[in-house]
Amino acid sequence: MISAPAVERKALLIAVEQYDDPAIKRLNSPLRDARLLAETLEDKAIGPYLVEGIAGNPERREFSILLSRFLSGAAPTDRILIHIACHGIVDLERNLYFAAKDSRKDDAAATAVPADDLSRWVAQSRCQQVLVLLDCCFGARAFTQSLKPTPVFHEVGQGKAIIASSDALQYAYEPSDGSPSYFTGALIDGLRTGAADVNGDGLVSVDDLYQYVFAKLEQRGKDQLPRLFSDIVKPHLVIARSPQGPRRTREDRYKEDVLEPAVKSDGRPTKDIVRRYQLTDPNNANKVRDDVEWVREHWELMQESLLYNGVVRILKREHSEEYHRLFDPLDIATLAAAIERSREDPETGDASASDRVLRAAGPWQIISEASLRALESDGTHTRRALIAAVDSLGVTVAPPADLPIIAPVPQLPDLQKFFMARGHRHLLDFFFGHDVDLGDGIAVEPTLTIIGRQEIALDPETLEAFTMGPRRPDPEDTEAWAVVRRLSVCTAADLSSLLVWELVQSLRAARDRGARPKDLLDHAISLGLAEREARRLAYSVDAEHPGLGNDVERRLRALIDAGKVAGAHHSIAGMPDERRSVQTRGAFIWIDRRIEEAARLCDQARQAASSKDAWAFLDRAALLVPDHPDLADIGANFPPPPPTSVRATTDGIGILVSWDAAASGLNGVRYAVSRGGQPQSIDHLVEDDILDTTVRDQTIPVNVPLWYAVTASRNGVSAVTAVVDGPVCVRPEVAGLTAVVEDGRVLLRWKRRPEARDVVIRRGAGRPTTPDDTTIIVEGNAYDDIEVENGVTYHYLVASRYRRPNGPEVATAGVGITATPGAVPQPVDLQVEPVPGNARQIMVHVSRPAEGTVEIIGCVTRPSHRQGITLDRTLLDDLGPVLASIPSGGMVVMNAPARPLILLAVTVVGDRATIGKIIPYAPIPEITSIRQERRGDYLFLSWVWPTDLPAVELRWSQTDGKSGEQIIPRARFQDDGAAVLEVSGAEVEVRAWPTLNVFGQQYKGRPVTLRVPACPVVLYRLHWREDRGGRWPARARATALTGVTVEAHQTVSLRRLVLVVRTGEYQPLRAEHGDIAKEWTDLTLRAGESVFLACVVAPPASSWVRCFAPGSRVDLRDPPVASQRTAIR
Amino acid sequence: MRSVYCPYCCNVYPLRGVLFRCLKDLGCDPFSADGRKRSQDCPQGHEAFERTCPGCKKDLPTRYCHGNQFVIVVVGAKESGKSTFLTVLIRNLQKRLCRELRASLYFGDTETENRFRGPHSRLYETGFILDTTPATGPKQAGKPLIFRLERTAERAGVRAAIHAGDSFVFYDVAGEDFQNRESAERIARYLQAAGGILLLVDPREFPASRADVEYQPESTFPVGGPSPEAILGYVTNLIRGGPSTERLGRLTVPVAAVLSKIDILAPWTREQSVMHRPRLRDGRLHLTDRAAVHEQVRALLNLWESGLEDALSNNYTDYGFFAVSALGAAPSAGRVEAAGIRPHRVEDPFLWLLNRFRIVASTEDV
Repeated sequence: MISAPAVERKALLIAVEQYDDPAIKRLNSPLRDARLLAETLEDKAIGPYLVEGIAGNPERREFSILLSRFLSGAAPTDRILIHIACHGIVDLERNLYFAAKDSRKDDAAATAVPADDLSRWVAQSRCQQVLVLLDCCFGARAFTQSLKPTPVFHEVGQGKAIIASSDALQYAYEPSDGSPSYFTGALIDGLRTGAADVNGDGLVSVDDLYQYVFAKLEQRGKDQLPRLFSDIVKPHLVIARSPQGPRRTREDRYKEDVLEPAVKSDGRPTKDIVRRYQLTDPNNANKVRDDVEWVREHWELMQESLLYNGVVRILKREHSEEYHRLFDPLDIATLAAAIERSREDPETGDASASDRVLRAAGPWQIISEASLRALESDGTHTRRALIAAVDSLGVTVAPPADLPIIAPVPQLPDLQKFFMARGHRHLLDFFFGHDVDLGDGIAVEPTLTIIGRQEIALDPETLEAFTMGPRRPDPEDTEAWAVVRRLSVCTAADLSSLLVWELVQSLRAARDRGARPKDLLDHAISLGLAEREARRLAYSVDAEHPGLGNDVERRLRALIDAGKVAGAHHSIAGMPDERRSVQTRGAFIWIDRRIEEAARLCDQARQAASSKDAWAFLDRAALLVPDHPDLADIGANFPPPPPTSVRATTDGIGILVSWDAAASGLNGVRYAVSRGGQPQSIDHLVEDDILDTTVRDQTIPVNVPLWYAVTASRNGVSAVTAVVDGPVCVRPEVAGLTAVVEDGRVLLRWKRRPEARDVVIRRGAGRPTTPDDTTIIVEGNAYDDIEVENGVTYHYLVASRYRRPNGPEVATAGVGITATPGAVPQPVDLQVEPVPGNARQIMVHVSRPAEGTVEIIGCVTRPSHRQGITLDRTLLDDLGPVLASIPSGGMVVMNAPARPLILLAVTVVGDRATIGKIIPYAPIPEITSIRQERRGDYLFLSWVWPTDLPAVELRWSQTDGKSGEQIIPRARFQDDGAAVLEVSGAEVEVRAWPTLNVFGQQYKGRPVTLRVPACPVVLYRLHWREDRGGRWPARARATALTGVTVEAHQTVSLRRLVLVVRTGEYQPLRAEHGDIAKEWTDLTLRAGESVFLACVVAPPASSWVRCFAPGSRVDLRDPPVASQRTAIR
Repeated sequence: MRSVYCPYCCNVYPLRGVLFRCLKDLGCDPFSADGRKRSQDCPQGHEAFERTCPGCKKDLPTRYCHGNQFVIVVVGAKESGKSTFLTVLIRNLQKRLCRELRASLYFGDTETENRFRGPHSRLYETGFILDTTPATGPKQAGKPLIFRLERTAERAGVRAAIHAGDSFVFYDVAGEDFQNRESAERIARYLQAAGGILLLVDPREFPASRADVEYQPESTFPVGGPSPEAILGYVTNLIRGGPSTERLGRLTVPVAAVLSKIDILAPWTREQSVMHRPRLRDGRLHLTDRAAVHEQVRALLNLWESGLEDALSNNYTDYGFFAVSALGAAPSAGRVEAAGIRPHRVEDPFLWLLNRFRIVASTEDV
């Protein structure tokens, strides 16, 4: 089941109805649902999707392979949809499996398809637009892990989504009456009716579809609610189109109800307050306020439209002058009365049938029968009253004329462009100028029937005048003559149609540009139409649908414009009659007539006595139907006509030969181009077998006169003599002309062709050169002009002179160059400083140059120019943007660049610039504050790491003489959550510099300093008297404490040191957790010295002994826990 | 007879019975062959390396059957910080401990990687703390995080051939999952296979501790849910199993009782406390430091009138107390501290387990 569309949307539908295991109940709807869904997806108005297959009742292996292949075979740009309808089986561990035909309920793990597999394949698929629809029980179990939360950010409108028909603990139901399952049925309904397009934008996104299906299933009240898992980022993944297209919005309604009628009635908006403010409920004050607010906001938007700008201005003015009183303050009773009055107002209301007719008739004062019926249908006026109004106003009741939809002459757009480019309004202008008043020449004849439909036509007299043509184009104007030639084979009727077509197209273009009805009428009159006819034409154009015909008509017009008349004929002929519109049928008759005429001309050509006559007939036939199938065959019977007007012109160092194609130039015509030194001896073949009508001769002798001949041939036989042009002679100019300017000097350099005898230079001071300027003859390739003044611009013209065999030398036109000598700009110094208290600005100091201004340029990379180099000012643009301009040096405050730059101070004098000081500038983020924490022998420093900062340099010094430095990269800081320094207990001073490596150099930002108070380390050891007696004499038993050894790494004073004993099995954590057995006060410990503090303490068995130093800021470190206990050690 | 623990169905199978699967043919079913061999030819003639569990038919991670499998179960009450601890622990293993051990830690399967990346990027990239892991029912309770630790054996300073490496299977179990009968069955299976148990305890779970923590609004204290002692009771009961598999006597599985979030115990940890100092980072278990931390945590628990130690000593032969802070500072307004995550001693319990697994050495050096 494969449909044709070659689009990237693909679908796979898997439906399992029957199961081998009797424990799994047969389902009724999956296959039928799948077929219905496939039809829906294949609908062109909805998808179309290429449904790769409906797998009916697959076995487990086939099920897996289908899914896996489909997902792995999809390209990244494809949009794929998978629908699975089957039983869902959940095993004891609550894993979900899809039941295949051969699955067994009691052994799902081995015989069914694990939902995890599908989940994995979806996650691994390269395809970036995937939607899976699962119609099975417990569907939400399948994807709890793979797609939520969003791990990957896709490009907009991409992503993978799964809609499961039921939650993890819910069943999915199907009705017993054989209709589709609730879930798939809702899907199909939503897509087919367009109701799934929840937001009304004409497109059904995954979100739309989910919301719709959720609402439908919720309405059913069954215990089944769908679940969506997706990683789609907005805008949402669009999966289908709504067959209804976008819904009519509030904006559309306002346009149709208020703005459009006001434009048609020449800028008079309706007085009906309800319509004017789109009041949905005039009795509800809140709603009235909302509506009025919306309308007023909408005016601001609409005012940007050229078409509605005028109307909106009137609406706003009338609101501020009159209507605002109704809403501010808002009184519902007053408003109701005003609404009532606005309905009774004779201008808008029931009282005036005349006014309604007048408004509907617009500025052209013509109304159609359909409009009259519409006025009648609202019941306000009877038909009789309306007809009376029509009669009394002199309004015409007429249908819009059928306007031509295709150009009557093929390939017409070229002609129109030609007329417009020359300022002609249309065809008649081209022949007669603006002095012809068409008012009498064009008539609307409703009764006149041409090719089976009513037409606007030229009257016979005008046609007569036109074909006689008193004005002819200028004989030199070849383009104009080509147009005349094309039109010369047209009949008078063709020209009439052509003129009408042009007028209609011109009005259509004006309408599509947003012209108001009155403007349209004015435009019609400006084309030369009499007012009555102008009204009729403008009315017809306005009544036409702006899109100008349907798709068929558009295609037809494109074919005719491209000259494919026979193709257009074939296209309509093969079309069913009911698809042809009135216009299409009319066009078909017209095209048919062309084809017949072309066929007649082809017959005449076949019977023509000479090839010249035959070509004349074929030319006319080709003009009528350029793609007539017989033209080529008939043309093949005659030798080709000769090319016309061969032109050979020099083009640089080559010669361009061009010619007009052999008339009609039907297939098989080839050209050959030859050259020679004399017109009689053209014997050097330049190129043959040419299809085009130009050729460029590149390999030509310099300074030698040449003649060129072109012959046309078919099948190697040329029927007529070659056409010749000449002589042409190539004399190249000098190459690579440059001017180097210095102080009071201009140095010109070039490269002369060896064939040239010498070079002639003319110079104009402050003006272009003239032939009267004195000439300087130079034989070499350079000229040093020292007779110049600084600051004056000199124009030089450098021409090559060539010898002629029999005559005086000839000079080329010459190559121009200008130069302004002047003093060399002097390089300047540059310094950059931060602005105190303002990190966003910097101060730039430059030294004062002797002459010129200084520009500060910021380069992203190191420039290739060195300091002191002088170059052309235009080359500065390549270096980078100018950040500041300082007229005569000094200081300037400017915004600090946001990224690292190389700053250049450039002195500019006239056209020249000299590079001054070059300094790199790197903005470095700052560290605001540092937090510190001592942990043992380490100092942990943490701060908020600024974005874009790669590293921080730390240097520290301690009062005990130790110091260090370390560069902390961002990654290491993130691993530890801090910068970790190994320090002693002495006071530490730390400085931290944010650092940046750029332009091959390290830059440091503003440092932050931190002082960490001292916390000296104090160690103590407990000395036990060991008793080796008792039951286990081999083991020592700690019985009594004989003393404590205290040692500090640096000199420190301890206010108190207490020895605490705690009975029991738990360590004392503070002094108060035990009894103080001994206490020492005001102890001074010298760095590195051990102090033995004697004591005799006999703690009870099974107790803890620990020292504490309350009131002293020290890091007191305990001995191993084993030595703190009186237990066996 | 060597056996293999399947991290998905949580059963232990003899290595000989592990199936092979051929990845070259999508439709190829797992086939039975001698699982002790490195590879086997599939019925289509391709050489198959991948192993499949004979019970649940799920593909086992690559090289999973080479070396030992250690199952580590992380249990704890709601909001005790299990997910945060596990995420920070794994990052620290990768970034810090592996460097110390000169080892490499790999994700065992892509699902582990995906499930690690989510919380990791939330903590380390966006700076948001992790939401409370919902009691997810039987399916979630069985989802393992599988890692493989590969080390290069050293001999007299010369780097020799690659050691086969070992696999670590972590399970993160919320306290509430024990109360669900279906979950409990599954949890029992992997607890019985566990090589180590990490019991996470939030100090605020002990009512008596509230005077000792830094000021926090009353609302932040965990309420309801099983106590640490109750959770240990569930664990013990599940390991001991039903009448047919009942294990009598004290259990030999090592249990690390980990006091989490110790940053809030500033009054106890800043002064004269070994908990406050970092461990020596040399890839060895320092027994002196270990004993000091163990005793300080014991003393703290005693202070808070906890029965945890009694429950442990009555049921387990091997247990230790630890104190860790995964974030380094208390989060505020749902975000970690602006300076970043500053883990403290998070590797300690895992290093202790590695020592028990005979992967790292211990030393008495101070």
